[in-house]
Amino acid sequence: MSILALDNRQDLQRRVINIVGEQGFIVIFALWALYLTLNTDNFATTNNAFTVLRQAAVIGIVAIGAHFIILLGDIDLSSAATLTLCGVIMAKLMVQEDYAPLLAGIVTIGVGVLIGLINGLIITGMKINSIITTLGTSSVLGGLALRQTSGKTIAGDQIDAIEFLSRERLLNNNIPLPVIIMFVLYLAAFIILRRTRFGAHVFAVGNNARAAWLSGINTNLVKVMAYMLAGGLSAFGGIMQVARQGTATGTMGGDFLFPILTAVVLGGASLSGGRGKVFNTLIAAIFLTTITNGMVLLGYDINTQRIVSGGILIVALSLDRVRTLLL
Amino acid sequence: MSFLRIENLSKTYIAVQALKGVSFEVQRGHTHALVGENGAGKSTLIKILSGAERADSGRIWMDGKPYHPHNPKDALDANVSTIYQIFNLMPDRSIMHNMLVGKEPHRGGVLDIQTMRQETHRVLEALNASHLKPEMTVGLLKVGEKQIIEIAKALLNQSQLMIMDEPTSALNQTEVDALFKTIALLKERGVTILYVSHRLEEIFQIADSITVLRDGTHISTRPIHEVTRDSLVEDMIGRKLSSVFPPRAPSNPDAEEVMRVENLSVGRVLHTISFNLRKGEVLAVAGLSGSGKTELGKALYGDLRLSAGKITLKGQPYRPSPWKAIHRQLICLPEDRKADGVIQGLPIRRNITLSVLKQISTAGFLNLKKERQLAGEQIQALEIKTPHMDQEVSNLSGGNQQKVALAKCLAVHPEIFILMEPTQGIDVGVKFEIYQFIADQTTQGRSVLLISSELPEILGLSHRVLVMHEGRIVAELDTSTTTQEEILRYALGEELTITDVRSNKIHE
Amino acid sequence: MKAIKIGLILFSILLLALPAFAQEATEEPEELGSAEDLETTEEEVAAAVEALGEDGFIAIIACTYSTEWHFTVADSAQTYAEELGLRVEAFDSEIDVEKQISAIENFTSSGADVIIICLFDPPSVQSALEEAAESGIKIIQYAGRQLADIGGVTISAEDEDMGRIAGEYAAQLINDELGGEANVAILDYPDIQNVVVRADNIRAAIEELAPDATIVGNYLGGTTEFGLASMETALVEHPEINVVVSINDAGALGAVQALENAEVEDAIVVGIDADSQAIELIKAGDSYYRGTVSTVPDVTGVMTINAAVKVLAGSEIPQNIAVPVSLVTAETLAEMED
Repeated sequence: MSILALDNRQDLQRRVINIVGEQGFIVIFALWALYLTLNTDNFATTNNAFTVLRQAAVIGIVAIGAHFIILLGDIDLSSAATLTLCGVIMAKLMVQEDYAPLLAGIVTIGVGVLIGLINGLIITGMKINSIITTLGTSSVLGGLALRQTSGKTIAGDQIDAIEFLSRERLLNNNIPLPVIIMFVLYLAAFIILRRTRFGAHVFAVGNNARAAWLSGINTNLVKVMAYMLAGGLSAFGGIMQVARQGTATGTMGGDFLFPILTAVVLGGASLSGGRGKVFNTLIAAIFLTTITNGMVLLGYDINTQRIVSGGILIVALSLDRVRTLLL
Repeated sequence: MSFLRIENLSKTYIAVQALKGVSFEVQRGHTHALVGENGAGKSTLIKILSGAERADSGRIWMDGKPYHPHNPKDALDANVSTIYQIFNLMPDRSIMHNMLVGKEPHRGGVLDIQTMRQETHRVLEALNASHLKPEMTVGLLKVGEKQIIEIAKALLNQSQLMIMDEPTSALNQTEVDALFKTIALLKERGVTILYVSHRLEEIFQIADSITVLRDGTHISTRPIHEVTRDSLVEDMIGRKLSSVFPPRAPSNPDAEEVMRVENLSVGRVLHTISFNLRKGEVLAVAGLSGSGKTELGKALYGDLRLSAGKITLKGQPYRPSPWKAIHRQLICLPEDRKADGVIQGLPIRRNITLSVLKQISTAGFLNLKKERQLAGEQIQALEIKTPHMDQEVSNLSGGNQQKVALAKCLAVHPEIFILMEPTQGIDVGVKFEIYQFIADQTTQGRSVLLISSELPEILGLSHRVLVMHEGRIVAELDTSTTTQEEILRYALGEELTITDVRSNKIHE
Repeated sequence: MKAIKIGLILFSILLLALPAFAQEATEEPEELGSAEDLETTEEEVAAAVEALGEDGFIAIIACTYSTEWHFTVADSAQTYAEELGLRVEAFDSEIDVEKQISAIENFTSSGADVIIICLFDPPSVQSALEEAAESGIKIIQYAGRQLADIGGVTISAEDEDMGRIAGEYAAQLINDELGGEANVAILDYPDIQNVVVRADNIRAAIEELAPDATIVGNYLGGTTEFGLASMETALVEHPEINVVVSINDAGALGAVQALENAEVEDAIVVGIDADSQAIELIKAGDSYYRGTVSTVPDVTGVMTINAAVKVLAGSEIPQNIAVPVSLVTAETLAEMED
């Protein structure tokens, strides 16, 4: 019966290392939050908590799509550019074409899904690496967004019609709507991943695409669908961002790619695919926001902020390396 | 006096005893085989001897002195080397840098390349491997050559005891022969070798004495001439050999045809293959490696693109692809179990249900209760040894992984199984269970295409045998009247002018 | 012992490297020329036309056409040159270093006499430009001063001026409307050296002209999202903030959004760049947005061509020339419409 003995022991060891790799950043997060609570007057206030959550919403929502793609073992570098282009399209449709907000929203999300479809078809059909493909589409989309705006800020009263997406507070006027939307989408993503066939297929393909294919799974379809989902979520993120800043510009998502991907990786999703918890991505997205938030509350100057936030990230990310080194 | 004496060695992992008071002796200069099923305690024993683990109780003497290594370095200092299945070599460095790593001769910090080259060359020459030059980059060597480098490194370290753990598992026949020559040379130099292997043929070829472990206990230690193949297997599995191959379902030449393959060709690897498979039949495909038997299995499952040919399942045309196959109740057990047969990172339960997720879901949502139930049934039916069905497959032993792969196949309720090398690298006990599985399935009216390199298995299980050579079927034989020799002769392509070849288009 | 030795060596390397971390002393710029120095005479224009001859031309290499400012500079330069009867060819680098380098090389080999260029990554194109200069082409840089080293003429608005004007206007509003007392946040973007100068001058002007105002701190701006997120958080800690001065309009627009979200009653926001959306808000008059600083792109465009004419005609001009900057407020906009 020594098989079981070895299994148990190895399993225990693996589990501990996995927990450190997947959840270790939460410990760092908790320490950071504790530090901020003790050293600032306003960190642990409801007001600030909702400020942080609202700030995390757009990145958090787009990170869901990135999470799916990373689970498949791919990387989507075009999410931020999709967000930008779709934000611009949304604003343009409403301001310049006078589309009703709902119609503009549906068209915009449709464009996002279409971008995902194109990404997916190139990657699966032509067997081109996802990094190269999405780097290419990202540059095309970024160029389109700039061309669409000719460098100008798109703004207009029509955009006020969707500002509720950013400003509305629900549940006795307490919780900001974007925060509720983010949590609902994460719950949906969790259910899709853990309780649906599509989710099971994503994990299978991410772990071992060939074995999944031999098991009768249409691996290309799974990939294309995941890219479409990611594209749709990026587009929705773009709409949320337009609602948030009340304007759209051709560079509005330019700084989003890094935090989006960092949230997923920091949340412990393995870059080689098949492993990752979507709620960890949510927590990581919130963590990332508290880093800058906390630094402002602490009154650090901007350069110190960069050094400290880089340091915190390196420590949190190195926990994942611990896992890859030991397993 | 014995060189290595192990006395009453015990080791317990969390409540389970892996070694139960094992005692035996190894003579100086002997090649001593250590055999047993997976879980018999071999790996624990090796780990203790190489310093990777410590025993709970018991004593070890080496060369008359107590030997209790606390870590691998202690073992190396006591001139004990372990050669693992996976090599610890630096692929980008040269042979001499690898062999002398950590003890490079130098003059004031500058490497003495001349001495390094000489030392390396001297050892390689002693192993009759002077075709390997000290400057060669290790990454470019073949597997067998890398193994020689590992051994040479051990020899350079003055090893008195070399532990070889499944050294031939990744080698081809030529490389195995070269390894055995090396072992003979080591023996001449008085090196004692503890040789662990599943391949009993090899053991009879090179071992001087043999120890069998089973379930953590010592069963026997005998000189090789006192051991027969049968007695050895009986020691290992603890039961009589006569029951290795279960009785097969009676052959019925009139049974319904479930699969017909006509003139199937794949590029340059398969040429005009034609055969049929009947209900309740085990049809074996034999052939040497490179004969096309693996490709045939892959082509039937859609893993290779057909260039010509027609396949029908129960009279209906079939174009191979995994999902169409599964839909038509044809399933394939891939040859590479670890890479293709199971998904290592997924739990056992999900692996088993992976091909039938549709059946356990409504409107795309999985019914996890149904999944557990289905997986539980399969785990029980195939006696998969695991504490929990949520365990990742990667935590299971090879034999149990293969059972998970089989359970996954079984879950789709197939009518036809294509089993590719189903018992490769699996210890004897599980092998028997897989044989029983095949017999059970055919008794229940299912059909099996058994693609195997093991002739005893083919003779013990199948009704008919197709023999392949250079991408063609060169013979179709009735198992009840054929012999290993006959199959081998066809497989070697020695006798092509035979009468009972069905598709003898070769001669046209 | 070994560890101590290695430690000592590392420590001395660190000591040797220290000067690199020290703040670089900013050199005082030389005497700056002004727009007047570039006024051309008819003789000079004729000489320039003659200098270009049959095949010569003036090349304009823009950083991008996709922002309003850059497009206007290139466009007004081109239009003005054509009016004067000078051949021009314009090129959009699309913020792509490779494209810019090959444009420089192509224009060099096709016989350009003057290259008017906007640089976004000066070190990468330095050698291509040096080669062009060696082959006798005159280089005129706008929106930056890096080319002075290789003998080019530079025409640029001074970040110092922009920051000072924005700061002065904010100070004026603080004194006139808030009785001199205010809590000021500065939106910064320290990744770009030029921008640091803007922020420093904003601060200096406010400290000098509205000494009773409190500067709460510098926050990360630069883009609308950064400006928005920073101000949201800053308002949590300092709800009393009622003045925001930003190094650009994009960040200031984010600040406006954050102030609206926080439902701040009265606040003053001043930016730099004369972004169209900022101008809209200033003109509308019902927003926090009160002023921005224009670096007059059309004037910049005309100045580059005038400089080209002077250089071609062989006239003496100062090497570094400042573009006038102007304050844009509801009043100046109303005046312009009249």
